This record gives sequence, C-alpha cells and structure tokens, in this order.
Amino acid sequence: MLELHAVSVELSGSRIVSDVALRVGAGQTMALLGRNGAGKSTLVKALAGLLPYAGRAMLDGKELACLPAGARGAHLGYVAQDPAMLAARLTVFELLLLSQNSRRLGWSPPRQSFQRADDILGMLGISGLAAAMPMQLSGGQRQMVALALALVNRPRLLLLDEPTSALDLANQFHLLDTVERYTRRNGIATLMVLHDLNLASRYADRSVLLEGGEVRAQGATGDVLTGERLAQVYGVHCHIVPVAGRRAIIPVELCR
Amino acid sequence: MSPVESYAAVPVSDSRSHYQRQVAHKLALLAVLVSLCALAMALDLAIGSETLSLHQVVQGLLHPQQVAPEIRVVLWDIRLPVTLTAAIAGAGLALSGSLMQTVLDNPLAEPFTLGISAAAGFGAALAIVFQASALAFLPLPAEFIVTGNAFLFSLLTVICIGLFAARTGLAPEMVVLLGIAVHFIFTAMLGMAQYLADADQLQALVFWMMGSLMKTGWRKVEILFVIVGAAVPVLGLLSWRITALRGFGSQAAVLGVAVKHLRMALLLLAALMASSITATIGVVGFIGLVAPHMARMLVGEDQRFSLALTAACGALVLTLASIFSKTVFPGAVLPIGMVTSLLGVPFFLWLLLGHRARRF
Repeated sequence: MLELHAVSVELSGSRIVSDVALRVGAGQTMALLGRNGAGKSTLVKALAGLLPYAGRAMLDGKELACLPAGARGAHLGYVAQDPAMLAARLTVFELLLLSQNSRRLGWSPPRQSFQRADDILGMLGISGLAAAMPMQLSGGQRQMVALALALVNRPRLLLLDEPTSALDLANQFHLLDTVERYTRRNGIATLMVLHDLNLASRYADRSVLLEGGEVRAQGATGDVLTGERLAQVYGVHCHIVPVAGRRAIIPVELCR
Repeated sequence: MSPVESYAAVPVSDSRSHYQRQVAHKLALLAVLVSLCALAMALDLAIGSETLSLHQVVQGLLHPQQVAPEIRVVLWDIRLPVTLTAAIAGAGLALSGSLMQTVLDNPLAEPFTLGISAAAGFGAALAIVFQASALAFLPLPAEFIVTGNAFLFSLLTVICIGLFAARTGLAPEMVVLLGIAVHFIFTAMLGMAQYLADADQLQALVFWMMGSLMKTGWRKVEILFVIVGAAVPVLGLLSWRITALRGFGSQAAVLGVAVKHLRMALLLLAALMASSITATIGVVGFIGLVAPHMARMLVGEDQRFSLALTAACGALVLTLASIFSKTVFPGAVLPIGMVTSLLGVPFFLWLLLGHRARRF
C-alpha cells in the first residue's frame, strides 16, 4: 500500500525530515506522533505533493511524485491543519463539485459528481451544510467539510494533519470513527498526524514516533506508546492504565 | 445518534436542487448584465455631438445603406470603433484584474500592480519625447510607434517579473513588492522624460497617460478583439482550475492542478490583455480593481460565472464611462481614465454596502 524508503524533506536548506521509512497496509490507520517541530506535518505535506522530497514514497507500487497530475485526486485525499478553502466564497456543495472536477475542461460537472457529493455529505451526516459557505461554519463543521473534500474523490491514501484539532469531544469520536470505518471498508491507507495520544491509542493500528525529523520508534501503537518512551520523547511522565478494555494514557508531570 | 445530526436536517436531494437554482440565478444575472451592456453600447453610439435616435442606431448598424451617408459615417467611422474599444477594453481590463488578484492572491491587485502602467508610460515617453522606437526593426505605421513602445515595455516588464519570481520561488506578496519597486523605477524614468520634454511633447505625454478612447481606430479594435477574444475561450477552458486555485490556493496541487504553471499562464494572459489595452487607450484605472469584486459579490467564486460576469461588468462600466465622458461637458470629451473612478466608486460602494446589509 504506502511504503516510504529513506524519505527526507528539506526546507530552506535545513533538513526537517530525515530518512523516514514506514509502511501502511491496506485498511490500516497509522498515527504520526511527536512533539511540535518533529517534522510530522512537513512529512505529510511532502506526501501530499506540496513539498519536494528525496527518497522513495510508493503508493500501490507507484512513486507518489510520479503520479500523473490527472490521477492525483483519485489517489490522494489531504486534510490540512489549516484548510485553504475556508476563505473561499463557494458553498460546501460547490467545493465538493470543484474537488472532483478541478482539472475539468468542460463546462458542466458530470452527473456522477452530484451523486458523489450527495453521498459523502450523507455519509458524514452533514447534508445540512451543503448550501453553507465555509466562512459561516464553526471550526468543527469546517473540519468535517475538509474531510468530506478529502474523501469525495475516493482516494487510496488519506493524509490527515491534526484532523480533530477544532472538534469537541463527541465530534472527535464521530470523525475518527468515520475515518476508521472508511479506511477498513475501502481498504485504503490512512496516515494521520495526531497530538492526542489517547485518540492515537484508540484509532491507530500502528504509530510512528518522530523526533527531530527522525523515526524514534514505530510499530503497533500499544508497543510504541510506552511510559518510558513518552518520557524520553515528550519529557512527560505518563501513567498508562487499562480502562474499559483500552489503554488510557494519563500525563502526570514534566520529567525533571 | 450522530453528534452532528443537527447538520443533517436538509434532505440530500435538496442540496442538488439548491445548486441548480443557484446556477440558474447566476445565468440570469449574466443575461441581465449582457443586456445592460448592449443597451449601454447602443446609447454610447447614439450620444455625441449629433445625437441619434436608437432607431437610427439600430437601422445604421443592421442596414447601413438605408441611412443617410452622414449618419453612416458618424456611426461606422467615428463612434463604433470608440464604443467597441470601450466594451472590449473594459472586459479585458476587468479580466486582467481578476487574474492578477488570483495569481497574486491579493484582493487589492489590479492590472497595473506589477508596474504595467508606469512601464507603458515610459515606453510611450520614449516615443513621444525622444522619437525612439523599440520596434524600429518592424515596418510599423507612425500611429503605432507610441502604442508599440508602450505595449512592449509593459509586457516585457511583467514577463521579467514573472520569470524572476518563478525562478527564485518568490511568494505572491514578494512579487507584489517587486512590482511596486519596478513601478517606482519606471515612474522616476517617466518623470525624467517629462522633465526633458518640450511643451508640446509634455502635453501629448500627459494626455496619453490620462487614457482616452479617442486614440482608437478600426485597426486597434481588431487587435484588441483578437487578444481579448483569444483569452476568453482559454479562460473558459481553465475556469475549473482557476476556481480550484481561488478555492484551495497552493493546496490545489493535491488535486493535480499544476499551480506554478497555472499562475504563470494566467499572469501572461493578464499582462497581454492589460498591456495591449493600456498601449491602445492609455492608463484606465479602477475597472480592473473593482469589476472582479462586483462579479464575486453577485455570483461568488465559481469562475465559470465569475469571469464571464467580470468581463460584462468591466465592459458595462467603461461603456457607461464613455457616455458620461461625452455628456458631462457638452462639446468636450473628458479623458476616460478620469471618468471611470468618478463613475465607478459610488456604484462599488453601493454594491459593497448593500452586500454587507444583506449578510449581517
């Protein structure tokens, strides 16, 4: 599915991501974890085609950087930390049509674009937002719209950069439940940047812990998120306790 | 129960029919604007030192042989080139402004943001004051020496800025600052040319800079028609991509839009239209700044409609300005560049305040 081999990203001459290697299988969700500045968002942006990278990033055996422009939307769905569409004077429904037809040369969108837009709004439970403009929506509603825009092209790889940062508790679960269900049902690969370790623990099959742009640990999320490793990477003592059959990570205090 | 259930109150089929109603509404607005343009053009043809009736105008246009020779001459040889220049130049300046605002990601950008007006002015000054032609190697008629110089300097200026920005990876806001620097350089050189000019040359140069539709002729109408007319279908084909650029910015690249190439192509199209229009009628400000905003207020960001409406707004405003320039002081024709701002600002404010009142 998604395989990275020695992927590095440089910005203004300094290396932000160094030799990252990872693999996300079909139907799997991987969390990218680490402190601020660890290179998580930079790596996701590079995979989305917004920054150049060195190394190899393969999706279904094809190099991501070499995907034909016309096929990128069908391969990649990306939710940015700060989605650019928020300022656009377009309705949510228009944005969904645009997302599917951004390279179209004809005038009218094909009939299936309308159906897909309806379907995705219905699937996320936000049909009521179709006629609204993003600037009129709350932060949480915008996150849901951003996810709808990322999913409407039925991508093979879903890249999410802090998708729950503006959501209340219930909507965090709703959005990640949706992502998890969609990922498994459609056999896609999902790579998401998260800061909430409990959400990562609950929703990510595998996790990668980045530090200074390098992979500090990766594997099954339960194996990666140990108290010792969290203390080393985040500098915070955490208790990890079983709650209702799940692991709950409770930050206790800064390491001294 | 879904936590976002409250968002899902609208039935799915309603979102599609709402979109279709929106499209019908936008097409109706476009039809109204185009009709107003046609009416304004007819009035512009009718009004002048000898006012014609609308019937005479229509008769003279459709059946030239059936009207008196003097009416035919007034219509076809004097007024029609001016009216067509106003409509085409208005549409072209408006489109150019819209593209500049998109490319530079700046709502205050206009066709002259990157120094086109000052560069054209300097090119014209070289021809008027020093009788120097950058196109001396071409067998151009005398009437095209000033126009050719202005066109070449303004177009080359934008191409150089665009290539420099592309090569160095400058952000849009840095490109705007570079354009401002170039503007000041050409303004200084234009000032130097004015300082060295004699009284007649100075008068010619100042009048050229004010912008006037009276400099036009059928040949210039043909050139403008070809340039703006060629840009329109290209923009029509690119309208989804331009909307993606406006809607998603650089993130449009995720959807396969070649953002850098698109920005460069739009910059060249904008420069080509603005340079040819400025070289033909001089500096006409305001239209390129506000016509795109008018269109966006009326139909939003979908460039399939917004660009068409932008062109119609630009054509309407410049044609109305042409009428106004002939009627405010009977017997005299004011420079069009002065009139566009006087006429357009109140209309724009009315639209802006009306729009705010509806939103809040």
